[in-house]
Amino acid sequence: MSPDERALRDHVGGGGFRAGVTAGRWRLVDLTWPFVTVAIAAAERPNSPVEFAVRFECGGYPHTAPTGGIWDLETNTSLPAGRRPKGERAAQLFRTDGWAGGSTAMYAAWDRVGLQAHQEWATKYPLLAWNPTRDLTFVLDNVHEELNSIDYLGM
Amino acid sequence: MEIFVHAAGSEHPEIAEVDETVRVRELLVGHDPDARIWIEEIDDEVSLDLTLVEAGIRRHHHVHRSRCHRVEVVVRYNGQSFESTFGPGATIKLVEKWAFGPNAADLSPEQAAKHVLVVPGSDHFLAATVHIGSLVTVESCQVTLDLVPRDRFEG
Repeated sequence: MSPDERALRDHVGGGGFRAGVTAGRWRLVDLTWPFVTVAIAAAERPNSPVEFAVRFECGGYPHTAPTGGIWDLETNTSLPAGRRPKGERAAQLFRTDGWAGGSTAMYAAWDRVGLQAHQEWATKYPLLAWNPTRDLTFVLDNVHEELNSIDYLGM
Repeated sequence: MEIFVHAAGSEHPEIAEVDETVRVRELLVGHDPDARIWIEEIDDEVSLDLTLVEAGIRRHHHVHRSRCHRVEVVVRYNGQSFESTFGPGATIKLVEKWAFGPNAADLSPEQAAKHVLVVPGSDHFLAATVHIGSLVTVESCQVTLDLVPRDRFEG
């Protein structure tokens, strides 16, 4: 097993990730290296799902940031624009306005593609930017917070 | 059964596999003998002579091991400081409820959604599930936190 896969599996088996699972904040859907798919719970909103899945590509983890796009578990493809979370912050995170990374990545400083597209984010947003001391639960905590904030408007 | 044990030095809990019939003091083996055990969000420490099941500790419950019976919390916001005390097993979610509320920063729900707590000098926001007792240092039972705006990615 490669060091990056071992690091990811260690983190997924660790207390932070497991505590999130048992609290219903997220659940592991699949881990087929280098991809890991996690369904993240969302606040209750009318006509909206109770969770959204994100499929991460984790090559080089944790030295290289993971990148993850919102995912349709039924079709195993990127979630169509009309079924993505709405709201100021959630919609920015999972963009549908033509941003190049919109189908496979998050517009965030914790995402590899987001960070590569905005290298200044590492210093501009140090509290949110990925660095090798972080683990996947850092990303999951932040996405869960966005899907459960008062400005999340549902699907 | 699997339980989560929080302690100073890590924001993530450790997973402990324990029998429900062991005494609470077993959770202190190999650690500071002066430490005590708290159930998450409960102010009163648990009697060490009870079994886990007698103490109400069930599968996937979170407990906190600490030498601090109370944690003095100082929150800094807009040039002001607010102080309160919590049991070591209090979560950041509970601390935020006080810090954002009328007895401290007095933020509206909309403002509160855009603010977070952070340990001064650290590189991340505190997740809602972190125990305040996990943030104490060896020297003291006091924690200082900054209440800061949550960044929105721009650029």
